[in-house]
Amino acid sequence: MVVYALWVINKTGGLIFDREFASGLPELSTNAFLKFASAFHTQHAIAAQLSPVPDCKGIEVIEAECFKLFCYETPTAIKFIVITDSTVQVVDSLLRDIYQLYSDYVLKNPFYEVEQPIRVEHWETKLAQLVGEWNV
Amino acid sequence: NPALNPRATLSLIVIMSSSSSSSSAAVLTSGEGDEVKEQAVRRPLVDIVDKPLSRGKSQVTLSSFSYLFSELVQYWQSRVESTQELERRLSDAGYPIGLRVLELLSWREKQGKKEKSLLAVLQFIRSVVWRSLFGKVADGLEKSTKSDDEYYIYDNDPLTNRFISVPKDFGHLNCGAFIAGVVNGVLDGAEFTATVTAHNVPNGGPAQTVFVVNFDQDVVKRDAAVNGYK
Repeated sequence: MVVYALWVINKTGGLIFDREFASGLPELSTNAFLKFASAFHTQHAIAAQLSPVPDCKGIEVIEAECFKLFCYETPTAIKFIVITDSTVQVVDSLLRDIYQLYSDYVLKNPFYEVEQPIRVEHWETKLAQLVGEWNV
Repeated sequence: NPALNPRATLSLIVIMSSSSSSSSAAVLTSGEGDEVKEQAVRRPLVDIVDKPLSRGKSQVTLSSFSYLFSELVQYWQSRVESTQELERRLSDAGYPIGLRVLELLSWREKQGKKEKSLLAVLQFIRSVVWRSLFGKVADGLEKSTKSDDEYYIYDNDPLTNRFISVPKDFGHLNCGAFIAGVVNGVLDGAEFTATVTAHNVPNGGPAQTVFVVNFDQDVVKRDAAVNGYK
Protein backbone atom coordinates (compact mmCIF):
# COMPACT_ATOMS: atom_id res chain seq x y z
CA MET A 1 0.00 0.00 0.00
CA VAL A 2 1.93 2.96 -1.24
CA VAL A 3 0.88 6.56 -1.67
CA TYR A 4 3.09 7.97 -4.40
CA ALA A 5 2.08 11.58 -4.62
CA LEU A 6 -0.34 14.30 -3.61
CA TRP A 7 -1.56 17.12 -5.82
CA VAL A 8 -3.70 20.03 -4.71
CA ILE A 9 -5.60 21.92 -7.38
CA ASN A 10 -7.31 25.23 -6.71
CA LYS A 11 -10.67 26.51 -7.86
CA THR A 12 -9.45 27.69 -11.26
CA GLY A 13 -7.54 24.53 -12.15
CA GLY A 14 -4.04 25.65 -11.20
CA LEU A 15 -1.74 23.27 -9.39
CA ILE A 16 -0.90 24.80 -6.01
CA PHE A 17 0.90 21.92 -4.37
CA ASP A 18 2.57 18.71 -5.50
CA ARG A 19 4.66 16.39 -3.40
CA GLU A 20 6.11 12.96 -4.03
CA PHE A 21 6.19 10.55 -1.10
CA ALA A 22 7.66 7.43 -2.64
CA SER A 23 9.86 6.79 -5.60
CA GLY A 24 8.40 5.13 -8.63
CA LEU A 25 6.84 8.01 -10.48
CA PRO A 26 8.66 9.24 -13.58
CA GLU A 27 10.75 12.36 -13.26
CA LEU A 28 8.88 15.24 -14.86
CA SER A 29 9.27 18.99 -14.94
CA THR A 30 7.00 21.28 -12.95
CA ASN A 31 5.46 22.47 -16.19
CA ALA A 32 4.33 18.96 -17.01
CA PHE A 33 2.61 18.71 -13.63
CA LEU A 34 0.89 22.04 -14.21
CA LYS A 35 -0.43 20.78 -17.55
CA PHE A 36 -1.61 17.50 -16.01
CA ALA A 37 -3.39 19.36 -13.26
CA SER A 38 -5.31 21.67 -15.57
CA ALA A 39 -6.13 18.74 -17.88
CA PHE A 40 -7.52 16.82 -14.94
CA HIS A 41 -9.47 19.84 -13.80
CA THR A 42 -11.20 20.17 -17.17
CA GLN A 43 -11.94 16.44 -17.38
CA HIS A 44 -13.36 16.53 -13.87
CA ALA A 45 -15.70 19.35 -14.86
CA ILE A 46 -16.74 17.64 -18.10
CA ALA A 47 -17.44 14.36 -16.29
CA ALA A 48 -19.70 16.11 -13.83
CA GLN A 49 -21.77 17.57 -16.66
CA LEU A 50 -21.80 14.52 -18.96
CA SER A 51 -23.09 12.17 -16.33
CA PRO A 52 -26.55 10.64 -16.98
CA VAL A 53 -27.14 10.56 -13.25
CA PRO A 54 -28.26 13.92 -11.87
CA ASP A 55 -26.23 15.61 -9.12
CA CYS A 56 -22.96 14.06 -10.17
CA LYS A 57 -19.82 15.33 -8.53
CA GLY A 58 -17.10 14.55 -11.05
CA ILE A 59 -14.25 12.06 -11.27
CA GLU A 60 -13.49 10.27 -8.00
CA VAL A 61 -11.26 7.37 -9.02
CA ILE A 62 -9.22 6.60 -12.08
CA GLU A 63 -8.05 2.97 -12.19
CA ALA A 64 -5.21 2.09 -14.47
CA GLU A 65 -3.17 -1.05 -14.83
CA CYS A 66 -0.41 -0.07 -12.41
CA PHE A 67 -1.76 2.82 -10.39
CA LYS A 68 -4.91 4.45 -9.07
CA LEU A 69 -5.76 8.10 -8.83
CA PHE A 70 -8.22 9.29 -6.18
CA CYS A 71 -9.74 12.74 -6.18
CA TYR A 72 -11.61 14.48 -3.39
CA GLU A 73 -13.29 17.78 -4.20
CA THR A 74 -14.09 19.99 -1.25
CA PRO A 75 -17.20 22.19 -1.06
CA THR A 76 -14.89 25.12 -1.89
CA ALA A 77 -13.78 23.52 -5.20
CA ILE A 78 -10.27 22.59 -4.02
CA LYS A 79 -9.28 19.16 -5.32
CA PHE A 80 -6.98 16.82 -3.42
CA ILE A 81 -5.55 14.13 -5.67
CA VAL A 82 -3.54 11.17 -4.43
CA ILE A 83 -1.79 8.73 -6.70
CA THR A 84 -1.36 5.28 -5.22
CA ASP A 85 -0.50 1.79 -6.36
CA SER A 86 -3.21 -0.59 -7.52
CA THR A 87 -3.56 -2.50 -4.26
CA VAL A 88 -5.19 0.39 -2.46
CA GLN A 89 -8.96 0.12 -2.24
CA VAL A 90 -10.13 3.12 -0.32
CA VAL A 91 -8.39 6.31 0.73
CA ASP A 92 -11.36 8.30 1.99
CA SER A 93 -9.97 8.76 5.48
CA LEU A 94 -6.58 9.84 4.14
CA LEU A 95 -8.18 12.45 1.89
CA ARG A 96 -10.29 13.79 4.72
CA ASP A 97 -7.27 13.98 7.01
CA ILE A 98 -5.37 15.86 4.35
CA TYR A 99 -8.26 18.29 4.01
CA GLN A 100 -8.24 18.71 7.78
CA LEU A 101 -4.53 19.50 7.77
CA TYR A 102 -5.08 21.94 4.91
CA SER A 103 -7.81 23.82 6.73
CA ASP A 104 -5.70 23.93 9.89
CA TYR A 105 -2.17 24.72 8.80
CA VAL A 106 -2.74 26.45 5.50
CA LEU A 107 -5.97 28.39 5.90
CA LYS A 108 -5.31 29.58 9.45
CA ASN A 109 -1.86 30.82 8.46
CA PRO A 110 -1.95 34.59 7.99
CA PHE A 111 0.98 34.46 5.59
CA TYR A 112 -0.80 32.30 3.03
CA GLU A 113 -2.88 33.82 0.25
CA VAL A 114 -5.79 31.66 -0.74
CA GLU A 115 -5.60 29.96 -4.17
CA GLN A 116 -1.84 30.61 -4.38
CA PRO A 117 0.92 27.97 -4.35
CA ILE A 118 1.23 26.49 -0.88
CA ARG A 119 4.59 27.05 0.79
CA VAL A 120 3.84 26.42 4.43
CA GLU A 121 6.36 24.60 6.60
CA HIS A 122 3.97 23.19 9.24
CA TRP A 123 1.68 21.77 6.56
CA GLU A 124 4.54 19.94 4.88
CA THR A 125 5.81 18.44 8.12
CA LYS A 126 2.38 17.26 9.22
CA LEU A 127 1.64 15.93 5.75
CA ALA A 128 4.87 13.95 5.66
CA GLN A 129 3.95 12.50 9.05
CA LEU A 130 0.44 11.53 7.93
CA VAL A 131 1.48 9.91 4.68
CA GLY A 132 4.43 8.27 6.43
CA GLU A 133 1.91 6.40 8.57
CA TRP A 134 0.12 5.19 5.45
CA ASN A 135 3.21 4.19 3.60
CA VAL A 136 4.65 2.04 6.34
CA ASN B 1 -39.03 33.51 22.00
CA PRO B 2 -40.64 32.04 18.89
CA ALA B 3 -40.36 35.26 16.95
CA LEU B 4 -36.57 34.94 17.01
CA ASN B 5 -36.48 31.29 15.95
CA PRO B 6 -34.99 31.31 12.46
CA ARG B 7 -36.53 27.97 11.62
CA ALA B 8 -40.08 29.03 12.34
CA THR B 9 -41.90 29.56 9.11
CA LEU B 10 -45.30 30.09 10.57
CA SER B 11 -46.32 31.33 13.91
CA LEU B 12 -49.90 31.47 14.99
CA ILE B 13 -51.23 32.82 18.19
CA VAL B 14 -54.28 30.95 19.24
CA ILE B 15 -56.27 32.16 22.12
CA MET B 16 -58.27 29.46 23.74
CA SER B 17 -61.79 30.51 24.25
CA SER B 18 -62.87 31.32 27.75
CA SER B 19 -65.46 28.58 27.66
CA SER B 20 -62.75 25.96 28.01
CA SER B 21 -61.14 25.40 31.35
CA SER B 22 -57.83 26.99 30.48
CA SER B 23 -57.63 30.53 29.31
CA SER B 24 -53.96 30.57 28.47
CA ALA B 25 -52.63 31.71 25.15
CA ALA B 26 -50.76 29.06 23.23
CA VAL B 27 -48.21 29.88 20.60
CA LEU B 28 -47.93 27.41 17.75
CA THR B 29 -44.86 27.45 15.56
CA SER B 30 -44.12 25.20 12.65
CA GLY B 31 -40.56 24.62 11.62
CA GLU B 32 -39.02 22.89 8.61
CA GLY B 33 -40.21 19.46 9.48
CA ASP B 34 -43.65 20.66 10.22
CA GLU B 35 -43.31 19.85 13.89
CA VAL B 36 -45.67 21.76 16.05
CA LYS B 37 -44.44 22.81 19.45
CA GLU B 38 -46.78 24.27 21.96
CA GLN B 39 -45.29 26.73 24.34
CA ALA B 40 -46.45 27.55 27.79
CA VAL B 41 -48.11 30.72 28.95
CA ARG B 42 -46.70 33.72 27.12
CA ARG B 43 -44.38 35.57 29.50
CA PRO B 44 -44.12 39.35 29.36
CA LEU B 45 -41.07 40.45 27.36
CA VAL B 46 -38.04 41.06 29.58
CA ASP B 47 -35.51 43.67 28.63
CA ILE B 48 -32.15 42.02 28.11
CA VAL B 49 -30.31 44.52 30.31
CA ASP B 50 -32.53 43.65 33.26
CA LYS B 51 -31.60 39.99 33.19
CA PRO B 52 -28.87 38.90 35.61
CA LEU B 53 -25.40 38.44 34.13
CA SER B 54 -24.69 34.86 33.25
CA ARG B 55 -21.32 33.37 33.93
CA GLY B 56 -21.02 32.78 30.21
CA LYS B 57 -19.35 29.99 28.31
CA SER B 58 -15.74 29.84 29.30
CA GLN B 59 -14.64 28.18 26.09
CA VAL B 60 -14.36 29.27 22.49
CA THR B 61 -13.45 26.96 19.65
CA LEU B 62 -9.78 27.01 18.75
CA SER B 63 -10.68 27.38 15.08
CA SER B 64 -12.68 30.56 15.64
CA PHE B 65 -9.84 32.10 17.59
CA SER B 66 -7.26 31.00 15.01
CA TYR B 67 -9.16 32.48 12.08
CA LEU B 68 -9.79 35.72 13.95
CA PHE B 69 -6.16 35.98 15.01
CA SER B 70 -5.01 35.22 11.47
CA GLU B 71 -7.14 38.13 10.23
CA LEU B 72 -5.64 40.39 12.90
CA VAL B 73 -2.13 39.54 11.75
CA GLN B 74 -3.05 40.02 8.09
CA TYR B 75 -4.68 43.38 8.85
CA TRP B 76 -1.58 44.81 10.47
CA GLN B 77 0.85 43.15 8.13
CA SER B 78 -0.41 45.22 5.24
CA ARG B 79 -0.06 48.43 7.28
CA VAL B 80 3.37 48.21 8.91
CA GLU B 81 6.89 48.67 7.65
CA SER B 82 8.86 46.24 9.80
CA THR B 83 8.46 43.07 11.83
CA GLN B 84 9.16 44.95 15.08
CA GLU B 85 6.24 47.21 14.34
CA LEU B 86 4.02 44.21 13.56
CA GLU B 87 4.96 42.66 16.90
CA ARG B 88 4.25 45.97 18.61
CA ARG B 89 0.80 46.20 17.01
CA LEU B 90 -0.05 42.66 18.06
CA SER B 91 1.14 43.47 21.56
CA ASP B 92 -1.03 46.60 21.62
CA ALA B 93 -4.00 44.45 20.62
CA GLY B 94 -3.42 42.13 23.56
CA TYR B 95 -2.89 44.87 26.15
CA PRO B 96 -6.53 45.78 26.87
CA ILE B 97 -7.31 42.08 27.18
CA GLY B 98 -4.72 41.86 29.94
CA LEU B 99 -6.31 44.74 31.85
CA ARG B 100 -9.72 43.11 31.68
CA VAL B 101 -8.46 39.63 32.46
CA LEU B 102 -6.77 40.95 35.61
CA GLU B 103 -10.03 42.46 36.87
CA LEU B 104 -12.10 39.44 35.99
CA LEU B 105 -9.79 36.86 37.46
CA SER B 106 -9.10 38.88 40.61
CA TRP B 107 -12.84 38.96 41.17
CA ARG B 108 -13.65 35.38 40.20
CA GLU B 109 -10.64 33.44 41.37
CA LYS B 110 -9.25 35.41 44.27
CA GLN B 111 -12.21 37.27 45.79
CA GLY B 112 -10.65 40.61 44.96
CA LYS B 113 -7.37 40.01 46.75
CA LYS B 114 -4.46 42.05 45.40
CA GLU B 115 -1.00 40.67 44.75
CA LYS B 116 1.64 42.51 46.74
CA SER B 117 4.95 41.09 45.59
CA LEU B 118 6.69 40.63 42.27
CA LEU B 119 6.92 36.88 42.58
CA ALA B 120 3.29 36.58 43.62
CA VAL B 121 2.05 38.48 40.59
CA LEU B 122 4.25 36.40 38.32
CA GLN B 123 2.92 33.21 39.88
CA PHE B 124 -0.60 34.56 39.41
CA ILE B 125 0.08 35.11 35.72
CA ARG B 126 1.80 31.81 35.30
CA SER B 127 -0.97 29.75 36.86
CA VAL B 128 -4.32 31.54 37.09
CA VAL B 129 -4.14 33.70 33.98
CA TRP B 130 -2.61 31.00 31.81
CA ARG B 131 -5.10 28.41 32.98
CA SER B 132 -8.06 30.64 32.34
CA LEU B 133 -6.88 31.70 28.89
CA PHE B 134 -5.24 28.54 27.60
CA GLY B 135 -6.43 25.69 29.79
CA LYS B 136 -2.99 24.86 31.18
CA VAL B 137 -0.36 26.54 33.36
CA ALA B 138 2.69 28.10 31.77
CA ASP B 139 5.53 25.66 31.35
CA GLY B 140 8.17 27.59 33.20
CA LEU B 141 8.95 30.67 35.24
CA GLU B 142 12.56 31.68 35.76
CA LYS B 143 14.48 34.63 37.06
CA SER B 144 17.29 35.90 34.92
CA THR B 145 20.83 35.61 36.21
CA LYS B 146 21.87 38.65 34.24
CA SER B 147 19.78 41.33 35.90
CA ASP B 148 17.40 41.57 38.82
CA ASP B 149 14.54 43.05 36.83
CA GLU B 150 14.26 40.33 34.21
CA TYR B 151 12.09 37.24 34.41
CA TYR B 152 11.20 34.57 31.89
CA ILE B 153 7.88 32.82 31.34
CA TYR B 154 8.05 29.78 29.07
CA ASP B 155 5.29 28.29 26.95
CA ASN B 156 6.02 25.22 24.88
CA ASP B 157 3.14 25.66 22.48
CA PRO B 158 1.51 29.10 22.54
CA LEU B 159 -1.98 29.05 21.14
CA THR B 160 -1.42 32.00 18.87
CA ASN B 161 1.45 30.31 17.06
CA ARG B 162 0.06 26.85 16.63
CA PHE B 163 -1.21 27.20 13.06
CA ILE B 164 1.18 29.89 11.92
CA SER B 165 4.32 29.14 9.91
CA VAL B 166 6.41 32.28 9.61
CA PRO B 167 8.06 32.50 6.17
CA LYS B 168 11.84 32.80 6.14
CA ASP B 169 11.91 36.43 5.04
CA PHE B 170 10.08 37.54 8.17
CA GLY B 171 13.05 36.78 10.34
CA HIS B 172 12.31 36.35 14.01
CA LEU B 173 8.69 37.40 14.03
CA ASN B 174 6.85 35.73 16.87
CA CYS B 175 3.09 36.15 16.92
CA GLY B 176 3.17 35.37 20.62
CA ALA B 177 3.66 39.14 20.85
CA PHE B 178 -0.12 39.16 21.27
CA ILE B 179 0.20 37.09 24.46
CA ALA B 180 3.09 39.30 25.55
CA GLY B 181 0.68 42.22 25.28
CA VAL B 182 -1.83 40.40 27.48
CA VAL B 183 0.83 39.80 30.13
CA ASN B 184 1.87 43.43 29.87
CA GLY B 185 -1.72 44.51 30.48
CA VAL B 186 -2.02 42.28 33.54
CA LEU B 187 1.21 43.62 35.01
CA ASP B 188 0.46 47.26 34.32
CA GLY B 189 -3.01 46.86 35.79
CA ALA B 190 -1.57 45.26 38.92
CA GLU B 191 0.84 48.23 39.22
CA PHE B 192 3.99 46.28 38.44
CA THR B 193 4.83 48.18 35.25
CA ALA B 194 7.04 46.25 32.88
CA THR B 195 7.84 45.65 29.24
CA VAL B 196 7.10 42.18 27.91
CA THR B 197 8.36 40.70 24.66
CA ALA B 198 8.02 37.29 23.04
CA HIS B 199 10.95 35.40 21.56
CA ASN B 200 11.55 32.05 19.95
CA VAL B 201 13.74 29.80 22.05
CA PRO B 202 16.62 28.67 19.84
CA ASN B 203 17.36 25.42 21.63
CA GLY B 204 13.93 24.62 22.90
CA GLY B 205 11.18 22.64 21.20
CA PRO B 206 9.96 23.70 17.75
CA ALA B 207 7.24 25.96 19.08
CA GLN B 208 8.69 27.00 22.41
CA THR B 209 8.36 30.68 23.17
CA VAL B 210 9.82 32.68 26.04
CA PHE B 211 8.13 35.84 27.32
CA VAL B 212 10.78 38.17 28.69
CA VAL B 213 9.44 40.44 31.43
CA ASN B 214 11.51 43.52 32.26
CA PHE B 215 10.21 45.35 35.28
CA ASP B 216 10.77 49.08 35.73
CA GLN B 217 13.51 50.02 38.15
CA ASP B 218 11.21 51.76 40.62
CA VAL B 219 9.01 48.68 40.76
CA VAL B 220 12.01 46.54 41.62
CA LYS B 221 13.12 49.02 44.30
CA ARG B 222 9.64 49.22 45.76
CA ASP B 223 9.34 45.45 45.86
CA ALA B 224 12.68 45.07 47.57
CA ALA B 225 11.76 47.73 50.15
CA VAL B 226 8.35 46.24 50.90
CA ASN B 227 9.18 42.56 50.82
CA GLY B 228 12.89 42.36 51.34
CA TYR B 229 14.82 39.58 49.70
CA LYS B 230 13.53 36.20 50.80
